[in-house]
Amino acid sequence: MKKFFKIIPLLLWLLTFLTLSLGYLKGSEFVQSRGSLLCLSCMGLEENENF
Amino acid sequence: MKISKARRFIQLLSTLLHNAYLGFPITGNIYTGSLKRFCAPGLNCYSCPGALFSCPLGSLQQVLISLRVLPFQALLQPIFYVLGTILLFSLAFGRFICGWFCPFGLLQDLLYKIPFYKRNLQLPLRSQRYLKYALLIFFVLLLPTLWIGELGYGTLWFCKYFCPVGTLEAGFFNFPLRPELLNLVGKIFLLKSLLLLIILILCLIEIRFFCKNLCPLGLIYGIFNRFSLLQLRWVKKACTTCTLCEKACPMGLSIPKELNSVECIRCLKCLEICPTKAIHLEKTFYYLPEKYQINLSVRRWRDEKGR
Repeated sequence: MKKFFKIIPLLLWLLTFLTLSLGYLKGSEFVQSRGSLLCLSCMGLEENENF
Repeated sequence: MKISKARRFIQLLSTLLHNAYLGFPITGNIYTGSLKRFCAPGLNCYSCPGALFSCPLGSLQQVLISLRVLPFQALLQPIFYVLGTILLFSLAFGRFICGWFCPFGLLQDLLYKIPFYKRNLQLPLRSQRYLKYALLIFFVLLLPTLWIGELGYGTLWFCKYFCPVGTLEAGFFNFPLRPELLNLVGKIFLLKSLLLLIILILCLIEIRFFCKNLCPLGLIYGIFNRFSLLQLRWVKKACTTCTLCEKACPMGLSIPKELNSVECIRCLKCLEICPTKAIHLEKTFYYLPEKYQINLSVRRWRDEKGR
């Protein structure tokens, strides 16, 4: 049982490094592209055709 | 340096780092450089004029709203990246981020220092604490994924209809830079502003009201509190049950039962105030259930005392 509990965090760390290494290239580009736009939703503003 | 002073210093430093872009008065725009590819640990809107990093919750929703429009293969890497980043923060720090790094956490701490009517706002069975579960499940995960707009994209439900940080940092701070945004103010902004005002008032009344009851990011970090690298340990033999720790806990936790629970923001006030040092911080790479934790701590305490 103790061994099982020790394994959970190790598996989670493994999963973290796996997902980050698999997703870094295009994932970080995606995050940058979305994060660099002024987000009207975050401000709670409504989109307008004239804007 | 006392823990509380060190914590305040780190909170200030972290808030400055989260918002260290100083070029916005010249460019009139938010930061668009390469640091935006990284998510910040704390709740800090990426549309804040000074924000250097992206918001993890905003980025997660951005991926989810694109699921119906962009091919799944194109979104696989962003999904991995955002989830991996959140997992990394959670496993490394847990809710240490809430207590030590989050800019909105600092704002709440400072607000509570203002003399005002103070009270613990409690619904029966502390049911108000479950609001953040509903916000995470519905506003962050389900509605952005399932509610599709005319163009096929979803809506950033949490950001658009709830997030007080977005209203404050992105909304109010961007108006002086881009006055044309005022033309887009509508009912949603007014409602969000009212919500922000209510939350700020509630934070004046109860310490860390938003963290306790409403923050979905804190909830994610909290779920991983028991797995994070730094854990709080309680030495039963050293404890005199004076309950000073419980009185000092800003989250109103029952200690030691709720040490390392989802709600613990790791402010370390319990550790600081304990006269017998029965609570301490420990680095660990593994998870142990409560009974083993206590036994382990007792063994270490005995070893230290040479008993």
